[in-house]
Amino acid sequence: MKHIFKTIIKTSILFLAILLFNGCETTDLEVKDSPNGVKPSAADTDLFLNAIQLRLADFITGLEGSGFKGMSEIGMEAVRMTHGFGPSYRELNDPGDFNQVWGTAYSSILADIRSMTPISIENGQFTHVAIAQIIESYVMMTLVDFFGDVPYTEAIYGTEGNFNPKADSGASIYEAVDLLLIDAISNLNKEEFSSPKLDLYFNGNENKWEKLANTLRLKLHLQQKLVNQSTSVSIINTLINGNILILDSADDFQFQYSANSSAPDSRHPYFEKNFGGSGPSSGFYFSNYYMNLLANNYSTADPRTRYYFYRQVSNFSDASVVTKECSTQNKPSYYSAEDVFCTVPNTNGFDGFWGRDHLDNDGIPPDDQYRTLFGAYPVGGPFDDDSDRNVSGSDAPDEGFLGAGISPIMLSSFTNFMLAEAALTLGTTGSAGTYLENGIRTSISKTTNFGLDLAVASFIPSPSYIDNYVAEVMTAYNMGSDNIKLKIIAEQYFIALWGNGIEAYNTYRRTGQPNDLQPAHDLSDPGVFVRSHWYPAAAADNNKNITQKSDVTTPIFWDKNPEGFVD
Amino acid sequence: MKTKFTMILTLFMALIVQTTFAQEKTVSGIVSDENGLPLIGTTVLIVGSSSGTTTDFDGRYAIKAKTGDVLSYSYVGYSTQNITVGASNTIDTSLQPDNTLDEVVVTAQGIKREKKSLGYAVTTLKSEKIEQKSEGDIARVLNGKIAGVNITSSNGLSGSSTNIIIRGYSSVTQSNQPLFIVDGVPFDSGTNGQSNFLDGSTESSRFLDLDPNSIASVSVLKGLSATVLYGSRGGNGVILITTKNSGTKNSVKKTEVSINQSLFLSNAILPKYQDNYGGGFHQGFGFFFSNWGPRFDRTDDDGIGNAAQYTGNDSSNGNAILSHPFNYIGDQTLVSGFDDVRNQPYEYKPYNGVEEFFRTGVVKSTSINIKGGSDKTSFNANYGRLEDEGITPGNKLSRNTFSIGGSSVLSNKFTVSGVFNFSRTKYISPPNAASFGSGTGFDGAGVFGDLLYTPRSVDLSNIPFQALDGRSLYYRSGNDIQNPYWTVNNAFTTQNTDRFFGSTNLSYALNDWSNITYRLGLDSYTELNSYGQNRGGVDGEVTGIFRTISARNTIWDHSVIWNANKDLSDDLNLQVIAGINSRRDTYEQDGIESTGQLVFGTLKHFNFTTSSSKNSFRNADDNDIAFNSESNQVGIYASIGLGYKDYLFLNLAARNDWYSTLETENNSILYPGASVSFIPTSFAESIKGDVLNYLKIRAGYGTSAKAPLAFNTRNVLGINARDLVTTDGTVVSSNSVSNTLGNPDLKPEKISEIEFGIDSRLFNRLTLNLSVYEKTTQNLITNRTLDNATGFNSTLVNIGEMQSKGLEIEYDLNIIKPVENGFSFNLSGNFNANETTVTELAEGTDNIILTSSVIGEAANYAVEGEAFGVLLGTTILRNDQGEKVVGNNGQYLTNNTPTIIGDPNPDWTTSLIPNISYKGFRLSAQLQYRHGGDIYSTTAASLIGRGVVDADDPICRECNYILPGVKQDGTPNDIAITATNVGFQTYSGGPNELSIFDGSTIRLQEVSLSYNFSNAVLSKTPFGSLSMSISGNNLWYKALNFHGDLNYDTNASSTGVGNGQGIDFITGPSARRYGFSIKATF
Repeated sequence: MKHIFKTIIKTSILFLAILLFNGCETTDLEVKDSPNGVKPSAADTDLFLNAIQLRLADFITGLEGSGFKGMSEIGMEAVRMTHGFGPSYRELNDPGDFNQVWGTAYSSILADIRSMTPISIENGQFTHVAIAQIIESYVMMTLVDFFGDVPYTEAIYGTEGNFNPKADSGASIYEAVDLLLIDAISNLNKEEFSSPKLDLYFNGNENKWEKLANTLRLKLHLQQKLVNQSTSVSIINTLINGNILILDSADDFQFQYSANSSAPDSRHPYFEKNFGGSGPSSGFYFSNYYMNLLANNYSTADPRTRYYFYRQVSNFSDASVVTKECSTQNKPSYYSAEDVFCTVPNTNGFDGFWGRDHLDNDGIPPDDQYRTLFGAYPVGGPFDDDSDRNVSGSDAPDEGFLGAGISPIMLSSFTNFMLAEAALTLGTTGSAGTYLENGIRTSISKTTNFGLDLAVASFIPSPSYIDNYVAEVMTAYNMGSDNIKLKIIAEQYFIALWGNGIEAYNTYRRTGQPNDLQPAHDLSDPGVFVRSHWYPAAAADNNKNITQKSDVTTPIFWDKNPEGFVD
Repeated sequence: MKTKFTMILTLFMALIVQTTFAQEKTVSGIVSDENGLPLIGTTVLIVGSSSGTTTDFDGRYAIKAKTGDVLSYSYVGYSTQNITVGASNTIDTSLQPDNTLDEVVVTAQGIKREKKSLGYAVTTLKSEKIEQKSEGDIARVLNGKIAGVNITSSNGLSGSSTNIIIRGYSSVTQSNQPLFIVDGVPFDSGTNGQSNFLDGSTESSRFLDLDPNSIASVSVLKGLSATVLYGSRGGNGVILITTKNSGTKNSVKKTEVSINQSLFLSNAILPKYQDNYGGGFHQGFGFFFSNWGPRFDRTDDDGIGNAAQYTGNDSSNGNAILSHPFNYIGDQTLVSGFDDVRNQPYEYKPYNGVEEFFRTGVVKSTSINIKGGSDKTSFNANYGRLEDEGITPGNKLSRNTFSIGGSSVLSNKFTVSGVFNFSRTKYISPPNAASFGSGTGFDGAGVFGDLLYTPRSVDLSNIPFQALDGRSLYYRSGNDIQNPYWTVNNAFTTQNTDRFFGSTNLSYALNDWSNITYRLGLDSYTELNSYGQNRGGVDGEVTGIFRTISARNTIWDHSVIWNANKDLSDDLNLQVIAGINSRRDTYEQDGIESTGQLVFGTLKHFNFTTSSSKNSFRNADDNDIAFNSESNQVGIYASIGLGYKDYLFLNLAARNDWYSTLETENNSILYPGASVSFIPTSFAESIKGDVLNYLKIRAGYGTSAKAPLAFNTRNVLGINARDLVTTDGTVVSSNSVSNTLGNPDLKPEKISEIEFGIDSRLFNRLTLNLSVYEKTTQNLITNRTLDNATGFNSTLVNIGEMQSKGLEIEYDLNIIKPVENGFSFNLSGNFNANETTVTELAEGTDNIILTSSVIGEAANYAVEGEAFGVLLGTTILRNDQGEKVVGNNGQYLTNNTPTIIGDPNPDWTTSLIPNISYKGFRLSAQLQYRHGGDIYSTTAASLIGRGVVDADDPICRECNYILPGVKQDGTPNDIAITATNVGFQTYSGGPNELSIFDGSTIRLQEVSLSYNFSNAVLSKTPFGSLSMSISGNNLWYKALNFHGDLNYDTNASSTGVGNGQGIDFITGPSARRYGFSIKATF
């Protein structure tokens, strides 16, 4: 027996010796750091700032190559700039549709900001800190605008084990965001030790960032005008007097995409989804209401029409039960005489605007070659020169600016429309009419300048055409009641907002204008308008402190408008 | 002379007889089992005398006997064999297992044990149940043969992956796939999916590299008390495979060659399509992708005559003639050069495009086995070849396997043995991305998605599928559907694998009752994967895509095992196994993806404009192709077995493992186990009789653990070197906090199982074995999806508990007992019921999704208090009274809150295997029944929803329907909708709950008729044995709760290998296989 155990021990020692000599990697239990990433201590603040800036664009405009809808698209669908499926407002969106914006906002943008900021402060990189603060405030105010109460003070504490961050009230987040913007401005005015290596928005111009911060404060307080009017008035007046606002196109806050189609695809996501070469995305029918607003609201079409939309057909001769089922149906009785139904009428010489009615829930017919698609502005598509080409086929990726479009986030025209609304409804400094006209003209010139290289000379609106158009709008404005005035401001803001559904969705709920949006296609009563969206499934399903809403009728804290205010 | 001769002869004969009878000689030989392994301790007796002996460690015996004596060889678990002593002094024999009584089985670490001594259930299948099958995939061969083992294919492609679950699930997020041990060492059975299943699961499961024809036996260790010695890896059950190469420990002097040749054909099992109506909506014609158009046999009111495309009727057969769809293609550059086609009349009639799309598959398999040896050395060599051309064009699997094994007893008490296997598997298939009833949902193309529900009026076979410049071409004006023929001609995935695996054993006999063994296992394979699609497709990358990924997986496994078996006294036997084991797993992959094809048709990286190291089919946070993983595990284990007399057996075992995948504080875990077996029929002989022949009562307790995969305990920083390219060409890089939160406190999951069972034999003809078990997993490693507001998307945590309970019955009944050359009828089978329940989840976690999910489609979840994997999806909105609510358009409103709509776990499954033999003929079959188990079937929803299969034969398409329910105001619904709306909007486009079907299925899995030529016939031939068989697989089935015309096969799941089940995103048709096989030995 003894002998045996000796042998066992000897053999075991031999075995261990073989292992130690030959295969110590076999018994090494310390392989714990992943070779598929780098250690967090290797983080670089400039690379963080790039991530934060890029993800902001994703948050707003979505991401190519996937079903990732950005905030803008979600907003545009509700207010009839683009078409949303229904048939009711409950079904306009699914809680799962918001997982990506939610994830981008928190686990990308905010998480990176929380990691970058302490290092940047230590490094004395105050511009990094300020840019992050401005972006954080934009993201948080947008989340409040769409979802209501959302986590903020307890957000990004996963590393501390808080997996159920409670939601803060929208009002308290607005308050915190306002302070954050003020702090950002003070950080911009500090002497930094090193500037960002790359700034995709303002190329490191701190003055422009300061203008943005002030303009966001303007937006924030205009938004709250129904909650605390006097504060809104005084702050807006202070901002106007300070005159550090985005009022010049050169200061526009926008994200510039490029024509680079792969590794990585850096084109405008809407371009990729519509001109990718495999047919336009079913998510991008344009609203008949919105196209009609541009084409037929006045006696001449809006000068931006050819830049915004590209018509693949010049009329509706191909509309049939197959390609456009509604063309065989009667206009529902609950549509008013002014409401467009199914097709956009040819009043001002634009025929063939092939879009969809609000909340039309039908399947996708074979109409790729008929649908009206994006034009040059802002996604970088083709300019509508009446050529009526099929731009939905496999050659589509070569259209227009090849997708080198922009995502308009906060433009000088937007500031003017906000100031117009403030002057009209709050009596803040300045003339509402002047702001309105400035807004229209700034937007028209931005659009036409943007599309200049693509536009065919004969279709470029002449200065007199533009003047006449503006004059007609201003006449209608000047002659109208306050309500009509507000409607015209909102309509013109909607037009200038093409590509940005965030401000349109906010404006509609804040002002109730334009009050003649198209009714739902399938249902006379599609339910209460989306006063706030479902909580993202990612939050409602995983965070015990967030309970899914029972419907989409709960207004945001700043929306004190009555039930049934908008539909 | 004649008389004289006779006399001499008589004398001579008498002499011989006299001599023979008188001469006592020494007869010696070797007794082996059916696999050639020596049977130690076989009793050899001279019948009618008291003299006898037993065989030694090598199975050898020597006995003094006279010619004409009858030697009786007996060994427990084997049929006693009688052999008359003849002229030869050597009698080697092999005993056949008496599977109706007790048998010897292979248990953990390859130790052979008498089955009666085991306190747990082990099922063993011998080679004859595995070889000569039409499936080259060992797991699919096992389907239905073993109680408690659930096997599902991913789809109908030959070579696709196979999911194996033994005794239910025990983990939510970790793998539930069993451990494969081949010839004593671990064998990687992973499925290295290169993209999410939603983009197609075409990758094979790596047990495909095993040739079933080379397998001598398969033992399945189901319970944890059986698998304790394998540690955590064995926690999902162990499939122990002994190849013919390792079964050569004794010497077979005669060289034996056996050849096995099979040829099988296969056919797709397709839905029965209706032939009354063609493409369109609401009886209006259109070149749509839905089949709710006009009747084929009517041209009057509302019919095809009203269609804009209608040009008249064919004078010969009366069919309506349409102008060709090419006239309506929006982008006319697609059809340039097809003027002749464009001008052809297009008959409006039912075409059999789908039926014609699939082909007859051919499976050819060859296997050659040679064994031989000398006194102390033996060897076995095997070559196998499989060629499996699937029913889907473009799908082919071919496999070559070479293996050789041998052993030698050296003079210095050492025994050396080894097995060496090489296999080369080539696999090609069209991509099969998941479809939700309209094209493919995500990045890849799919061959089945836009095929199965092709409208009847589409002439799929004859419409040109490719434009002159290579682009996909089809009949729709927008050309927005990729032609399935274009897909199979221009898109493919391949996986070519070279694999070496083998083991070496060096054993030293310390004395006659113990030995020490060093065992080295090496399993290493290289997979070359590719995915490609030429430019001009509709689904996926339009500019063309080509991705190659090479992956290498290696397992090094070292063990030192001390094995002792000693009789402590006449009544008490002690068996001890003690071992040290270390295992290292490494996986590395690298590759490149190119887009922007230059020359159409050439899929090589040089022909593409852009290359990237990212896989565009994966999410941005997980898309680096290059990927490494390594993990090490060290374990020590011991098992002590005590046998008292022949009726009480106790086994105690424990193993401790240390893992590299956990932080040091949590990386060690001990799992003990114990089992006891008591045999009343041996304890009290009095109860043994003609009614109760044998009874064993057993109980086992076992534990195991599951360690997480590598690199989950620490955070990393994600780097994206190319996040954006700006207008001036600047490449923008970024770094970002990882979206997955590392958890340094992560611990292994702990599983424990208690099992009771009875093995019995009754009436001398019925063997009945029964097991019940309850398995509990604690500290579940849960991939907790986090609210992103935490800063992370998910983290692994140890929270939650789940429990499996089950019942397994295996039986074997000799209705007519076999007699030589007579008629016999045997019925065997099994029954299996398992219920896995999630008993606890992390606080705050309502549910955990088990697979990738798709917005708007049902998915598998773990929900506290519910069966594991319940299907959650959208439902019809119901009011407070529970009534279904209809909207103003007459359609159901949808409740988007994920709600339980089905349980995909079958309630129970059973197999019945009748076996009839007469003379050399043998007729056997395998019938299977699955009860319950819900399936979320997009196939069913889209076939019926798009109107190609009549749900209700024939559905009144011209009628209006009012959906049962109430309107939003609570009044009964009175809004009429068309049949098209019922089918297309409600059925296929409506709430998920309408696409849930109960999966109960009855199936004729196998039938075979074989003939064994008798020795008498063969004696004049060079053959040692010769048998022929015809057999069929999956010959007939019926999913009882699916509409009959769908011919829907429930044995597939789009989720592939993993923890999902019951999800069908158009898996493609299954195949019926039948063929011929011949086996001969020389």
